[in-house]
Amino acid sequence: MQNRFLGSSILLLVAVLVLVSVSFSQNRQPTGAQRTPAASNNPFDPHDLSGYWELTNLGRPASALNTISNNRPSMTDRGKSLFIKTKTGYKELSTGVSPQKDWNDPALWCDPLGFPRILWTPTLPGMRLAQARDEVIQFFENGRAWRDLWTDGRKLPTGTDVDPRWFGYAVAKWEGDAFVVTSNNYIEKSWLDQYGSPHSDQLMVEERYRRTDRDHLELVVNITDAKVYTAAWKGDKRIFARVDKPARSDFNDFPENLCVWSEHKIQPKS
Amino acid sequence: MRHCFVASFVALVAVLAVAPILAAETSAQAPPPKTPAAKAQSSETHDISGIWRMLAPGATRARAATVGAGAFHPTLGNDRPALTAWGQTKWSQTRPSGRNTKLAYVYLPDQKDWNDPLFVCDPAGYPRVGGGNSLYRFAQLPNEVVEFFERDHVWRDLWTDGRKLPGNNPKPRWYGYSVAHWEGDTFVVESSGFDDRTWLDLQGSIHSDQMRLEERYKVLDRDHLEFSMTLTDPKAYTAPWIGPKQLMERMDTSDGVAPGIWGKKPDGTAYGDIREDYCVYSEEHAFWVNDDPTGHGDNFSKPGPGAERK
Repeated sequence: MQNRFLGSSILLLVAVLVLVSVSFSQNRQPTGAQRTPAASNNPFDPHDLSGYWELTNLGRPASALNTISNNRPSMTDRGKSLFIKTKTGYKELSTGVSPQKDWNDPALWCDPLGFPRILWTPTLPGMRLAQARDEVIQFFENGRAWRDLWTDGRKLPTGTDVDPRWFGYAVAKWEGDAFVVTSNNYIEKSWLDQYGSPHSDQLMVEERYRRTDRDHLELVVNITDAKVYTAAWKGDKRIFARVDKPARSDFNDFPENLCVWSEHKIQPKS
Repeated sequence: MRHCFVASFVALVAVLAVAPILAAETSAQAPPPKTPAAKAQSSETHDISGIWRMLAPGATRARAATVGAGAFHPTLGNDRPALTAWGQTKWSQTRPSGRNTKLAYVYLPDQKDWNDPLFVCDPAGYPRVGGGNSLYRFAQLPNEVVEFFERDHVWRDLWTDGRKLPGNNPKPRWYGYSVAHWEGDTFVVESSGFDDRTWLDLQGSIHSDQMRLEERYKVLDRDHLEFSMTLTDPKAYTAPWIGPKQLMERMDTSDGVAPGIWGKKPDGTAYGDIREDYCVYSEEHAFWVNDDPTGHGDNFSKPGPGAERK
């Protein structure tokens, strides 16, 4: 059942949530081009990505959006049919600003954000990388989610037996000083960003991480999804800054940032 | 992807887990095998990395015969201590999902009356997240053991770097704050700072923000741990709740991951992985709306209690 007309309190809550998101987004959008990071002279191991990292807007133009890049390729008919169903309050990259009663961002009712969206929206994008025996573990403050970036030689799963996942299946390797992650088998219900950019179950994601100095980590996310996009979506270079401990934590760890539906009571829309 | 999280949860539930490990110490004495068919292999290091399944109390290695029983067993067992007046009041507000047991405050057969927070996909919290058919995975990092859960795809940090549990009134967390250390061949985890909205089990056992947990993972051999948990919560219970000893069994990989999708290691064994078992509210919502066996319509449109499929 769909509640087409939500109670005023729920609408208010939705508005607050979105305003928070927009505010965050705007806070993260510089008014002018951000300087590039000052190089650190501290020693570091380029093949060790361990640590807490905070996403920045360093080096990005003022108009840069919180997504893979502003240059989203055109969509296939299949992509258009998915995209037209998305309703947001954003004008950039979206289907147009919709009345808030129609917004259907899955994040509004606490569905998993999925990858790569969890990198940039809707809340503060704390990330931690940790080196374990057979993998690099990628932790996110959002939703207390994690990804296994397997480095033990396994290959990405293919075939119809594979259950798609919100955070996909990922393997990784080093190419020089670049840590390259490839992933597939994503649940297609997640959005790639807050603007409603869709994807299919054929989404393939390539992430290229490079530690440029002790305190900075570059990331470029490229995606291909022939079902939805007519070309590869090439990502902007994003820069993370290393922090000794996460902000907002009282235990020198990630605070618990979980979306709790009973605190929201927002109904899904079709 | 798992769809009917709630259904699977109702169908199972049980026990818990966690465990440990750590780092660079290498001595640990080899405990003798203590279970039937236990491998004559000792733990040579303080390391319990891997994927583990919790068996029911008293269970041996007959996994197929015991998992179902374990799935319905409360993590802390049935010997719950008496509640305080505060605890009694809180407990009286629970409406568990048709469980006619002494642990349940009330037996309500009609799902419209139930208010289990999991049925709206609120966080399970610890220790409940370990119940049901969720497996546990531990990974050793330099300063901690990370405990991963299939359910809700969340993790706990079990810090072994010497930090202390936070003092009075930390910001409550669904999964608490945890520190850990080794005592001989036993990995000991202590936790506090829990959000008191979670239930401890399917039956609606409650706790307060004063709850403290001690988990003990005794290494029996390479493939088995002995788990036990003690809950202390003087605000809610008149005495500690001491759970039964339960066996944890190592698995190469989760049986919730399609067999063979990752291929095999050079030694022929499976690459380890656990499933991603989210409770997805929009799916649960659709499920309930479209398949409400009681005919009560859309329970989720009503404020307050959620609902569960039978």
